Amino acid sequence: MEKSKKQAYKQKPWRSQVKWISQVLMAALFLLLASLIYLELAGEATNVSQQMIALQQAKIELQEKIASQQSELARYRSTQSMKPRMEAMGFKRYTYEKVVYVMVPGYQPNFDIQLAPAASQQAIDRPIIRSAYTESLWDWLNEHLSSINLPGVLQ
Amino acid sequence: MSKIANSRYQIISLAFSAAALFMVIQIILLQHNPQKIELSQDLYNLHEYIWINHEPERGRIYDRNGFLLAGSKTVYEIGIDLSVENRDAHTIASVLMQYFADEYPLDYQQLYEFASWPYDAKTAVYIPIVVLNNIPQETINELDVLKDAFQAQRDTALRSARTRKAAREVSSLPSLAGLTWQPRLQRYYPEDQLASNIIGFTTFMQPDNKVGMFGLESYYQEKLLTETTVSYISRLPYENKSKTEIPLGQSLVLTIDRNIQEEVESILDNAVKKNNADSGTIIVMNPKNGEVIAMATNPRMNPNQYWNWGKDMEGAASFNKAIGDTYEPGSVFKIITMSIGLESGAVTPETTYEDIGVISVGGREVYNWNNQAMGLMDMGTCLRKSSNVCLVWVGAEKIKSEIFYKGLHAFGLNRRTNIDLDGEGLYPLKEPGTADWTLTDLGRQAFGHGISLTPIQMITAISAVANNGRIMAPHILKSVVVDGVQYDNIPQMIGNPISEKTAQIITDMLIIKESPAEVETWNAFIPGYTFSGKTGTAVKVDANGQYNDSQTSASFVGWGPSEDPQFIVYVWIERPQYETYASMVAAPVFKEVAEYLITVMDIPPDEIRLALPAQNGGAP
Repeated sequence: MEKSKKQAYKQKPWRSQVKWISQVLMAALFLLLASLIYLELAGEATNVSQQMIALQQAKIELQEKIASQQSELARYRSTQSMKPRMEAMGFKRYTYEKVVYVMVPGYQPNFDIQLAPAASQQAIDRPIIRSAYTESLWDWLNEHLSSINLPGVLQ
Repeated sequence: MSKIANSRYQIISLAFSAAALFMVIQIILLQHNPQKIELSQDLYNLHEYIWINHEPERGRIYDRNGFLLAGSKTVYEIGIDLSVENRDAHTIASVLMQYFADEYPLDYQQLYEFASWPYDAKTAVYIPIVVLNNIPQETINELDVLKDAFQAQRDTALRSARTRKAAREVSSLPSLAGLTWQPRLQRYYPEDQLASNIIGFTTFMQPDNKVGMFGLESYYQEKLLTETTVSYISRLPYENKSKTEIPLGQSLVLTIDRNIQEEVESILDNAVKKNNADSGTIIVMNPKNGEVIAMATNPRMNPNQYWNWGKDMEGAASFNKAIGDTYEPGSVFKIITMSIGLESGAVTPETTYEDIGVISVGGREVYNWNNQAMGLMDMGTCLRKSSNVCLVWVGAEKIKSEIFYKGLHAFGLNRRTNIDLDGEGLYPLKEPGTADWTLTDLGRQAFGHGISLTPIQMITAISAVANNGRIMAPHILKSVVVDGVQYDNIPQMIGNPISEKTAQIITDMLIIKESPAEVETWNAFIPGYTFSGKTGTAVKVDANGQYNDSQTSASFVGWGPSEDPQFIVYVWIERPQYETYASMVAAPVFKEVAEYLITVMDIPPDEIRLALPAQNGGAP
């Protein structure tokens, strides 16, 4: 009896096939979309990664160039370079007898050079790249699923 | 399905199963074979990572105002690139000879052989020619222009070639293809000789052997040092999350003021020349915090040509005379003796002594420097007139030897100052308990003989008098920059041998005056300013091991302004030839240095400074 009921409502075979094919195609489409998103992100990340490598190398080259040029600048500003220029331009050293002192309230004659921020002023270290740019789709899913507050489940 | 077909299907499925099984077994074997694992890892590293071979810049050295004293500059290493085919060995060798034969011991034949090495596509290695290291940028620019010109000539000829023969003839045109150059950083000192006795040098002629020698370069070698770093950078996007920071050498900011250092060196050089002296040194220090503002020595060397240092420093006993050479300081030491006498209560400023020109101590007689009796005098006059006899009396008769040597220890004269420079010298203090010590030794030490000290020991000890009795640790490092953060070197007190009162009494006793009748230091007098100071002339031992009156060490120590000292200066001129007394040799040097310092340190004359409100710190 049961068998005959089923038989009575059975779809036409082509309908079942279309339904089955549609389901498979839907799944495939979903997978394809996910893959495309994944591929797109991976492609972007790869591109950024390659840029980072190139920039890293450029940074090293620039650091070396800066170091060399700062030394060159220091050479131009060195005492043995400045003194002849000073004399050629007609400057003469003032002596203590010729100095006229003027009272300037609040003037601080000496100050210490700061080549870098002092240790006490150091900013708190934090990541410079947001996690959205580094996590995988799987990481993202994991993070979001774990943050879902399911009813009846103690957090 | 027929039987035959069925059996065929079975055979095929068996074959596929066997193949699958074989593959699975192979996979398992591959994954557990150490050689294959290593190979796999190598391939992974090769393709998934790139590595950058980089030698970071050695830490820089700045003066207190941010002027660069030691940095780096780009130099090049010239080599032959074997991955380039059909190199023109003759042109390469000829050009190298033309550019470098005058400076380097080059051989055309050897260069030709290097340039002719066969092309090897597999290794395709870069072969550096060691003799062509440290080539400056300017020369490389010229070579680059020449290389491009040759290449342009070939390109033009190739474009206009109409036949195969003509195209082949292009290869006979000169070319520098295959001649390559690699940049690297080399230590460089933009100020040449300036402060070289403080900085020292780093060897750079051999790129693989960079060693900090002497001074700061040696003392702070570990901070300044960088090593060749190989950075692995992943090609995989998700592995390349964090930036790879290659640690740079730590930069040092010194307490030295470049301008003052330069002026002090210039004054010293002139003094040594004017007096036809063997050598000399001047130290300028801030007694309130121990910062060394300038430390000049003569002779000194050029660290950019460090290989000549033996010649530049010919006759020098140490690399940095200010910290490395010990000597009998003579009468400047009397400040220490009198300080101990006053501090211990053995004498007071009012104590008088009848100087008859000679005194016997431990069975030996000691005379005054002028062989004259100076008569009845108080302790201040005794110090100002620099009476040997009086100071022997104070040291050997009034102060007990135990207190005297305890005082010397408190002044730090039995040990190194531990200044942050490589090569500080020390001569053991002769005191009770050491071999051959007698009371005569104490008597001689009381006026600065029979004791050998470095200038840095002397200025550090006497800085107590200029700093209310407190000795601050002498130091050169003001701050250090590590990973973009500046850390300051906090000044530290290392001793308190005398009270503020004693320091003030000594300072007042030694005020420099204009009249030679009053003080020995009259040659250091600066109109309008009150400074304190003391001369010191010590007879030196000659080549025969005998004290020779014509060979002296002329010293001077001075500080000021006396009511609030901003600096202390120590001068030592060794073996002056024309004048031998410190009052004639060293005192004018102090005066010259002090005149410069009051100008650049904005120290107004007494009448202006003392009239200023106290809250402004006396500064205009």
